[in-house]
Amino acid sequence: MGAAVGGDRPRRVTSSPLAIPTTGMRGGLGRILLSAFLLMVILPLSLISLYTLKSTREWVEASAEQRLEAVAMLKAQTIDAWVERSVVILPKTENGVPRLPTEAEWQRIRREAPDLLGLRGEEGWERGRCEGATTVPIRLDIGGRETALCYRAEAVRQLLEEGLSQGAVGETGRLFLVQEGMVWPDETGKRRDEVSALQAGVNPDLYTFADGTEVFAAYGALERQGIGVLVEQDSREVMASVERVAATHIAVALGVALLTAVAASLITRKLIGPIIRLTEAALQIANGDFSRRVPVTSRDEIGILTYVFNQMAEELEAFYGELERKVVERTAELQRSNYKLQLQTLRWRTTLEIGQAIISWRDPDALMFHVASVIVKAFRYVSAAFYVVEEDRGVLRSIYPQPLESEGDTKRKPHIRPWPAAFEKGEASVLARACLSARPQREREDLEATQVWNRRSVMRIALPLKQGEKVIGVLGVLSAPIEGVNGGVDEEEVETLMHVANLVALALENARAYESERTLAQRLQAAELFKSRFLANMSHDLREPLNTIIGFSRLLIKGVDGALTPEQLEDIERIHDNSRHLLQLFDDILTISQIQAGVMDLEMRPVNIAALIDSIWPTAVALVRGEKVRLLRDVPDDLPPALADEQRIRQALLHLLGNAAKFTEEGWIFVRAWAEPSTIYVSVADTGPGIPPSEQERIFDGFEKGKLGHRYNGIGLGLVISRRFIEMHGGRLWLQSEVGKGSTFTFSLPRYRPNREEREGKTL
Amino acid sequence: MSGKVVSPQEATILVVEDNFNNFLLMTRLMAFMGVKRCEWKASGWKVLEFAETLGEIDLILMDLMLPDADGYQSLDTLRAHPRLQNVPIVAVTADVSAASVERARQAGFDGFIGKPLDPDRFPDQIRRILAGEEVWEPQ
Repeated sequence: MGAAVGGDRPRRVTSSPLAIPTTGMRGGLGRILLSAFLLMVILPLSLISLYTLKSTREWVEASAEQRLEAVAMLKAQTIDAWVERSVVILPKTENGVPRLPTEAEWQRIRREAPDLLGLRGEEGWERGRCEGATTVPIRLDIGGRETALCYRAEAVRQLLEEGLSQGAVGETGRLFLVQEGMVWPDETGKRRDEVSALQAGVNPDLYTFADGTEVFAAYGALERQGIGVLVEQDSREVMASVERVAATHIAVALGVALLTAVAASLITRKLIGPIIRLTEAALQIANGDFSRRVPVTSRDEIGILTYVFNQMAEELEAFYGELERKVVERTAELQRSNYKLQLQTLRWRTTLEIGQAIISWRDPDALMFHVASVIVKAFRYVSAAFYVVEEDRGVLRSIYPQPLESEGDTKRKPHIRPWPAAFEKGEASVLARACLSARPQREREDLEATQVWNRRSVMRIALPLKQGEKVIGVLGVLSAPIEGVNGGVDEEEVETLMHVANLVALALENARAYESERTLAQRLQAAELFKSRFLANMSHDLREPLNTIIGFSRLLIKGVDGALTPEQLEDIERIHDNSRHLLQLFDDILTISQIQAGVMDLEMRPVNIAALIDSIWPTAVALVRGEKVRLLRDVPDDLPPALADEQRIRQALLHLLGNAAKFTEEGWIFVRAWAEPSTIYVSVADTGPGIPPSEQERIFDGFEKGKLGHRYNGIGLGLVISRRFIEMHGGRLWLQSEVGKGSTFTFSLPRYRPNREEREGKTL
Repeated sequence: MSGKVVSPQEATILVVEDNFNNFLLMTRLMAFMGVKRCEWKASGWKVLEFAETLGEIDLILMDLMLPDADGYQSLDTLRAHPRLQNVPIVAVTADVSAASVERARQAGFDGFIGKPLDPDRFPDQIRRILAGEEVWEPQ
């Protein structure tokens, strides 16, 4: 059992896996770290790159503009100088205005300026060729007259382009001659607006043509009014360097980012690896694998954490191991107690059934048969038998055999020895042993086996029926056949059976006791009857002769039979008095005997104490001796009734009054009665000699009189009887006395409480 | 009570009593007050047996504790007798409890005198009964 539970130890825990919501949580730490690293690297890098790019672009733009402007200025000056040379050699009037040159002059001019193809004056003169695509007229204000100098286009082009290194205007750089809205050699004429804007100086140095071409431009003005040079360079060429820088930056940034990512992941792995291992281990522990440990690999906080984690895991493992062990233990314990509980339930049920049987079966034999059947059914025995010890033998009194088996069964089942009809106490059987030892005895009986591997056995258990130490019988049970020679009936079952045996023994004892009790009760009843009859008869028989004596002596005293001499009268009176005294004693003794025999019944009725005192008053007056004693009373007329036997209370009161009268020679006797919520009190006080404390209880003790002083002679049994009467009513009688002052006897009686019917009867 | 008034001197009183001493005491006391004729029978049966021989009876004093039959049975048989049915019968018994008195009254006795007899009072009680008075005095 323990091994089985220990074997699937983790399973048992995973059967209720810890609900850890880890979905999407794994690797989170790494992601955060990586993101942080990348952010930290790429953000500043990007910012720097952006700034650099922006400033580079600005710088490139500015430098391009400056360069272009410089080129424009330079070209403007070159062209100006070039044009100036032509102007110088022009024939002029006296006031400096150019005039139509002569042919000679024209030839000289042609020689000196071969590129000048024609001239045209404001006055309308013209020399050479001015029109045509190959000429470029440059109109100049010379001496206040506009004069067009028509140059060879190719020459102008050369002039514009010569001397410019590639770096100055780049490959896309172009130069134009600008004069009065004419832009040469602009074939399309599209720049006119831009140029005028440039001339005005308001336009940005960058403009875009309709076809999307973006160019940087600069304008350089000549000395001569209205003539300038326009320099253009494609912005793409200008910005090519910037693009390169940008590309470089991006490449660098990407490279750095990549490097950072790699480094970050390496660092993260280094940093988080142990944490991940810890996490995984923790998760496994959470799922029940307490054997999981994490190696301590680093000498840092994580190392400490791992170390502590391992320790905690170890403690957990130990704790859970202990828990497992305890669970195993408890389970085994629970099974044991469960088995015990079942046994107890069986025992309880059987006991209950047997208990009921004990109550309902008076006949011992029938009881034993019933109990045997209950046992056989409850414990699945083959049979149960009861033996009762008679002298030195146990005699079979009751047997409950298994119900008859079918024939097929009997053939296959081996023969089981039946219970004997009787056994001797001295013999060796299990029954006799139980009887002698007064303890349960077990005996295994091997059944005849046809095969060695088919050995079967039954068990015979004998349980003594004990009454105290005495064995009064034996209960034998025969267990069902079992395989093998072990097991069958265990200690607990024997204990249960012993319990049953004790119950049956008790029942048998009860049956016997019941029988003897019944005869005893009958005898007692008879004795009681005899006693009360005896008392009644004795009362009658004793009193009759005494009454005769008293009657006749009284007859003599009365002089019925003639007058007597004084001596005779005195003698007769003595006889009379003593006879009366004797009669009183007889009465008292009889009363006490009746009380002690329990044959005196009270007739409880509401008693009006005031009326009762009224009725005995004459007697009391007669009792009081002489004139020196006054008889007084204080009894309210509205005294509520007491619940009492009037006759007995009358007797008690007369006893008390008689005593008071007997011992009081002078003074008074005072009868009082009063009521309290549940009690009526009556007291008789006298001014007699009083009774010393040492004697106060004794006078209630009956024939203790002999021990009293001489002066209490004749107190009789009256007080004893009175006290008994009062106590029979549930009241009390007590004495307060002081020597020389007198005695007060007081008794209490319960007040009469009318029940509802009586009350209603009264009010109706 | 028949109501017939008889003087003690002329009255014939039957005492049914098993104790002769008691009868004698009663006779003496009654003689002392002037009753001349007293009959004695020890039981109710004897009374019936000799009923014919008895003369005129004016009063029966009957003990309730008689040997053969108790006083109540005797009362019934005497009351059934034609000669005795009108004679007053007074119970004389030692059982002086209230219950006993009540029972006697119910049974039909004409009076009740308790035992032991008080020699000082008995003559007077008889005189009153003969005078036609009902006497129920257990003590």
